Amino acid sequence: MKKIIFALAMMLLSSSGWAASEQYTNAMKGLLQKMGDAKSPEAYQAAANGFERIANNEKSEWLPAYYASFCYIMQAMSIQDKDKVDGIVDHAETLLETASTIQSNDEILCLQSLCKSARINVNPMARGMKYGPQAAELIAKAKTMNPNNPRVYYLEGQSKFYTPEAFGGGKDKAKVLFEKAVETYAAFKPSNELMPVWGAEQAKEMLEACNK
Amino acid sequence: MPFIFSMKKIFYLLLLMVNTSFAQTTIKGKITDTKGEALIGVNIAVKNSYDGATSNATGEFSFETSEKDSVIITATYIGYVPQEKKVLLNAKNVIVNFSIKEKINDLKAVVISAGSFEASDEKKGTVLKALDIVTTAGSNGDSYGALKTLPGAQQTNDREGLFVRGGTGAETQTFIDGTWVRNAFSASIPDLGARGRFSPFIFKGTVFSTGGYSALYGQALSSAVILETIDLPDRSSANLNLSSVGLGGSFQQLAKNKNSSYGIGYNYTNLTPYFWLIKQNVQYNTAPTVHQVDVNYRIKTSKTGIFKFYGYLNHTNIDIQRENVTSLDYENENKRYQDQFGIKNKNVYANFSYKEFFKKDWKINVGACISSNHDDIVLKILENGVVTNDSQFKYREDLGIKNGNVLASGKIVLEKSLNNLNTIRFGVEHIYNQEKTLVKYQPLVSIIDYTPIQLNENLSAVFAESDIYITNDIAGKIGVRGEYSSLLNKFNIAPRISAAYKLNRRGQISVAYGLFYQKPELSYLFQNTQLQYMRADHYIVNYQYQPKDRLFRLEAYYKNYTSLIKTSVPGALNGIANTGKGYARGIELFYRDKKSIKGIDFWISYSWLDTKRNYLNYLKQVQPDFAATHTANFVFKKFWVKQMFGINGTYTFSTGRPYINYNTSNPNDVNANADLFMRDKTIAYHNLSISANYIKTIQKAFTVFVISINNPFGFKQIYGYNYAAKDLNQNGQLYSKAIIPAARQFIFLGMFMSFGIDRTQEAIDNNL
Repeated sequence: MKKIIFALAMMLLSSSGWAASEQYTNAMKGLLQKMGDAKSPEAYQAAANGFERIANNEKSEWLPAYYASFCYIMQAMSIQDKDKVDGIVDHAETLLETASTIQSNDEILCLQSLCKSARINVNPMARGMKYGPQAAELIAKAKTMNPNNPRVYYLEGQSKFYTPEAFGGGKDKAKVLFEKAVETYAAFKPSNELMPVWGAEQAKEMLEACNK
Repeated sequence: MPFIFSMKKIFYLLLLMVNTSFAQTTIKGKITDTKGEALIGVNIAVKNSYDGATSNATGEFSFETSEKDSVIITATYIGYVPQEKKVLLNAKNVIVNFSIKEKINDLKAVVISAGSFEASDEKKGTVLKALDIVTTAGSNGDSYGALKTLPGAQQTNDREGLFVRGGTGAETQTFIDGTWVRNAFSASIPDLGARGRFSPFIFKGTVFSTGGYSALYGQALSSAVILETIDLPDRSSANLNLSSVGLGGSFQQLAKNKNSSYGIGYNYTNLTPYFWLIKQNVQYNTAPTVHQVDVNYRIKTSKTGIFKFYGYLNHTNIDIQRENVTSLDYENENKRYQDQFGIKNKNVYANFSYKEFFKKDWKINVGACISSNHDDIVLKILENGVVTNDSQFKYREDLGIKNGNVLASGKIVLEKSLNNLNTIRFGVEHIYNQEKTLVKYQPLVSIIDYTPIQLNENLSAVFAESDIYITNDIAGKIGVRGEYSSLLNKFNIAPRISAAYKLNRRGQISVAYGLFYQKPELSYLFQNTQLQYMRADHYIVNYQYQPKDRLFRLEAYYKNYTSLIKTSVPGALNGIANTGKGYARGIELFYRDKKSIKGIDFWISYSWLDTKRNYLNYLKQVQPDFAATHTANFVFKKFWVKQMFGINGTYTFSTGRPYINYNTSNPNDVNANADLFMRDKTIAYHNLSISANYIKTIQKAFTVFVISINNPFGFKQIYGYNYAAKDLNQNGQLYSKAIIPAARQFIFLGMFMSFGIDRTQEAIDNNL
């Protein structure tokens, strides 16, 4: 009896100890699923809210804030009312700031660069001159940190693709980058199941668009 | 056994624990804003847990939590003040509703738009972007040219200055980084207008106030043009330009740490080749020739502070000859005389500004300006190329005038941010200004030096202003400015007040009221310093509706002018007194649309102006000779991104301006018939400007080619008439000559190249 009780107690105790990280992993996985399925700005908002709730409790994890920010950027990119973009991106940037105080890394820099792109989208003619170089600088930083991050090349390709040739962009330059991106995506192994993997499909699609 | 018992206890305790962790409570509720509108996307969370939900399209939410007892529920949403509620989870279902308040923030808060047009890329809801100033056809790289396409501005292209809402050009003043600019317009020839001195490329923000402007600015009776210089550049660059009027180059070096930058540029303008190719209505002895050296230095003094310096040296030389009106109908055509007007101008300008935030919610703005200006003017009446000895023109046939001014000014503005965008601003300003003029009569053996006149002015001002935001929808601004002029030895106190109310998401209404004082113009102060400030009271109401990519503005105003300058006043020193008065009222419309016609951005502006004044030598209160009743502009811009080619156009119309007909009512004649004064009007004014630009990367240089044509169809433009001083013909009629532009058309061809010295991008590309 003693043994049984002891074993039971141990099991419960240890499971409650495990529970924290298991709860974290499960919650994150569920939200990543939700994020992957999201199509509308509302769906991205719901996923972002979930990530933010986790971020508020897990002060030593950078991923919840990172993903919350990613959802907000996606929302900013897809929202109809362009007046709202700056407010959303401001919030996304605050989250990334928080994330980088926990751990500064190339993935965060990629999103910081993407924030600038979201701002350019509001009015490319007027804002390109200001935010374009900032976006490029952040990506360059990410690349020096980790030249094997495929998202670096994907994002670089994106910005080249949408920049007119006269301003140093164009399909030809973008194509080289997307090829490099597809290649690095194939070689890329995330260190665990929660790490960012996004962009592989899109990079292939963009490469096809360049070949058209 | 007791041990076992205690073990049992633990066992039950553990079971209980397991049990509790599976007991769920459902939390439900609805989220609305303070107006009761449902909010979608709000994050509802149980503090210190993962549990929570997002509100749906009807603002409702529902989720289960395993938390127990007393918890804190939070509701957070971008743009709203977060809210917390303590809730006791004592039932299966708990209902928690939130009504959350919108944060007052500058993205959403109403902007007071009465009397103000703003061009900026950084602020929301502005009428123009910084680039619009440059790409407006007909502006020819002159900021004031672009502002003339906005409602309120007159097409008074024959005179210096921006004429706004029944005000003269001298009633509009320019401010750069807070400080007053003494010589905003370049040296010019009478009747041919003047260009602004500053390149629009050095400014990131332009506010064109047609009335009711902030207490931070003074000494402008009608209008203020408030310019803000650019900060550090994004990268180093070198620029070259070559055009039909000159050439120039500049470079801008950004320090490696991106904390400071400096730049230097040189521009040479010479219209000789152009005038040689295209005949002008006046004869140029020296076509406008300008040398200008620009320098700038900018440094970030901290994470939030910046110090900026901009300065230039400018030398301009123009000399013209044109028919002397008085001699025009002089018996013998061969004896037709010529007026020579030559000006050599030296202008130096330096502007310093410093901005810093401190103690979290304080901001300091310091501005200082030094400038000096010298005009060396030659006025001659020539007969067959030499100074005439015809006694009709005695003492007018060979004059030399030297004008000079020196300015040193400083301004400090402290700004304290309270919560919710509410701000208090206050500060002091001091302007030292020395003005000199010397007239010489030259043809005699001993040159007559008329007594030089020098005025020294110390103008001091204090001002305070407060921005008040009650909600995102209601805002106000209350300010007051006090000034003392040592020259007039008089004080003035000018209150300013404005408010705005947001009617709905896109529409708003705003109002402004203020008193504005200005010293009389120098030419009168040189003769009499026992004068008052001139005064204008502004009343403005504005409605603005701004759906996406469109903007509609309707503005009505009334202005009352008092203490204007009158000349030939009996009993007054040199006949000059502040007995003039007048009024201006009008309705103005502005509509900009980037959406309706795909790919075309256009705006329409219309101004109706009803103004009368009795000032200077006017015989009665009458519509002045610089004011047109109706003015309209149509501006369009089209850019083909794929071809990198753009076309811009501006069409301007205004009704005729009154002019003094010296034959029917001569103000210099004591017996003049006042009823006929200023009855005559010029023909209506039409102008079209078309410009095309093509952007191409040549080698590594980003190159823009520009061609622009002003008045391609050659519309006849008459601004007024000059009359002969005497009737040399003795037939009772004074001869007159129309005031017309120097040429019907103006064609400009230019190439602007920009090289980015920064090679980081190149380095990245090579690393692939």
